[in-house]
Amino acid sequence: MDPAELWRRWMESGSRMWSEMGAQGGQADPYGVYRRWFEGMREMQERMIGAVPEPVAGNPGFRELWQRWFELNADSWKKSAELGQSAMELLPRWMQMLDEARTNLLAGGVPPSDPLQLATQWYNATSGPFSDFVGDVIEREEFLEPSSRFLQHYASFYKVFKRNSEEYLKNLQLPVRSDISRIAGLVVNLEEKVDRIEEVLEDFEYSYAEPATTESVKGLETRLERVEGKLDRLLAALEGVSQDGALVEINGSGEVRATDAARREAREMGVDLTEVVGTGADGQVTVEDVRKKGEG
Amino acid sequence: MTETANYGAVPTSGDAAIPADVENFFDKYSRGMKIVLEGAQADTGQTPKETIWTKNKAKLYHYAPNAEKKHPVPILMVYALINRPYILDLMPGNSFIEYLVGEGFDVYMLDWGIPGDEDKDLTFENYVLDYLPRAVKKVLRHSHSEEFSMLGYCMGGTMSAMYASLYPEHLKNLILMTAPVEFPEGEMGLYSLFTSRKYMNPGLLADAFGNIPGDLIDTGNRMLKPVTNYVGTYVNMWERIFEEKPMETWLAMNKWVNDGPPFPGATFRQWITEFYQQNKLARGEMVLRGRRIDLSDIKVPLLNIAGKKDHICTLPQAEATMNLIGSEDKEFFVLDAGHVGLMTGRGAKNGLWPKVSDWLSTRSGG
Repeated sequence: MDPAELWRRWMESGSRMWSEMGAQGGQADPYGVYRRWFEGMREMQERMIGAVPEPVAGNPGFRELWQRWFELNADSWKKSAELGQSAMELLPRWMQMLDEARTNLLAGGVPPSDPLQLATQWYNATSGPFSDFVGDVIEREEFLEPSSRFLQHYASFYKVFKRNSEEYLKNLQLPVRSDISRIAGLVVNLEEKVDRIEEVLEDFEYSYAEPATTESVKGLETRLERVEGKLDRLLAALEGVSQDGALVEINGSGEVRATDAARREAREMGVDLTEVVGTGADGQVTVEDVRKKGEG
Repeated sequence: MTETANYGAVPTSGDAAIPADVENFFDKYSRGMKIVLEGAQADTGQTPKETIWTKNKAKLYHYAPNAEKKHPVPILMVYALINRPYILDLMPGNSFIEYLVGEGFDVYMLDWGIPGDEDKDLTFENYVLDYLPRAVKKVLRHSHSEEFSMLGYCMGGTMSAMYASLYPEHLKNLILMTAPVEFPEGEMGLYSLFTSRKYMNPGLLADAFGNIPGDLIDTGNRMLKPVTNYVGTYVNMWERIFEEKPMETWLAMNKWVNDGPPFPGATFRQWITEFYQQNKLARGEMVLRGRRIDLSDIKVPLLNIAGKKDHICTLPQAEATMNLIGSEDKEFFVLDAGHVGLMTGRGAKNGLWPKVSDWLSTRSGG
């Protein structure tokens, strides 16, 4: 396969693709720049291919091809420089870049016949000098100042455009982006509140003050009951002492002497107090007595 | 015998205008053009994860929840507001997170998500004082741990440093990866020019756009190395296609590079004005909601990582932390890599990842 032929086909399909895309772009033609670039490349390539006697006799032809490419390229720059464009003070730098690139490229010996390898080699040879060149350009006031002005103009334009179109749509009673984002903002606020509630709940759940469980309440109950029982016995004993050990009979109405706690316990456990034998002072029924009866 | 051999084979007639290698050539060419025109597609972020908390667009991920954890102290990764965090979990075999999980670490990551129009007023106050403390609390509870290690990447590192100076409780270790802390004019390369007061008016941009479009931020970053980023990337792609080298990493990286979320306008204004133009953090003048940030308040062990070839966070910008921080156990680890090459690819696998793992494992218990 003739490498020049391959290269030509590749260029053609590439540029056709770009020009077709450009044609679809409508009035804006976002690919205009690329198309023009490709057209320029194609023209150059036609001149290149045309200049090479066909078929290419081996690799040395390619070396010439590249030599010519650089010459042509440099030529076009020289021409535009003669047209007196202001950015052309960069020309010496550009020429130097091309020169370095050429040296790099041709230093690699015979250029390969594979177009891809060629392209890679071309990139490797030129990207260094080219980056330096671009770096130089970017750092210059001539680049930075217009770019920053462009960005600012663009931003102002964007803002005016946005405001106008919003006004227009609002007049048509249509919701616009800012309306949607206002609602989204409300949702975010709501979520924020939910998040805060969640945080408080979590703090509660994970904090050292553990919430009461059924078991802990039961445990507390048992301990209280024990204290109650002791108090009860103490009370009964005290009452017995105060009455000088005199026995108090169960009175005629059949009322049973029992402490308040014992009565409550009997009610809760469904124990008939009259059936309980009191062991407290004066035969008073205590909580312990009720409990023994209830469990027994 | 000849008949059987030829059976079913496509007859190769002599009049075939296009030889086989040309067809092959155009096949490859069209594959390449498809990527150029449609953008790279790749499955990224594949390490299993569960989302344990969300706040507005932000999400807190817990990685490989069922994997065995050797180190009880969890790691919280804090990502930047620029680009998406799946660079830390790019693809199986080339994922920092996957590696750490494999080493037995309990990894969490805070993904800021993609801000909407309604988030244009979010500021560093929101991120550092509202989001981060909540996320930390979540991580501690979820991992049943009393302490954690924080790993901040790029601007996420700058935010982590601010967090660490304000909330020392529970923080055990701090790792900053390519995190700019100082913004000295003359040490930031082209960024100094791009962000200088003369050329950059962030208020105007924030006012016009609300959120700064990802493309704009991306262009700024690419213009630091325009030839490499705009041409070199694709030369690399063609080379891979034609030499039939594996494409997965290239695709994943390219997808990531072109997947920049918008940057909340108010944060952008702060980032350019107070950090780039006024260098407030290093000067100790940064104030968030009335709380002044003094980096010397940070006393926890610090691993500070930077790349020699990093153009986005230059070496001096990261190195400054070493003098500003109050920690005694501190290490500055420099790799011969760029901003992104530092955490993915072969270099990272042999350089950064084991370093982080070793450094952390002696400081993470277990």
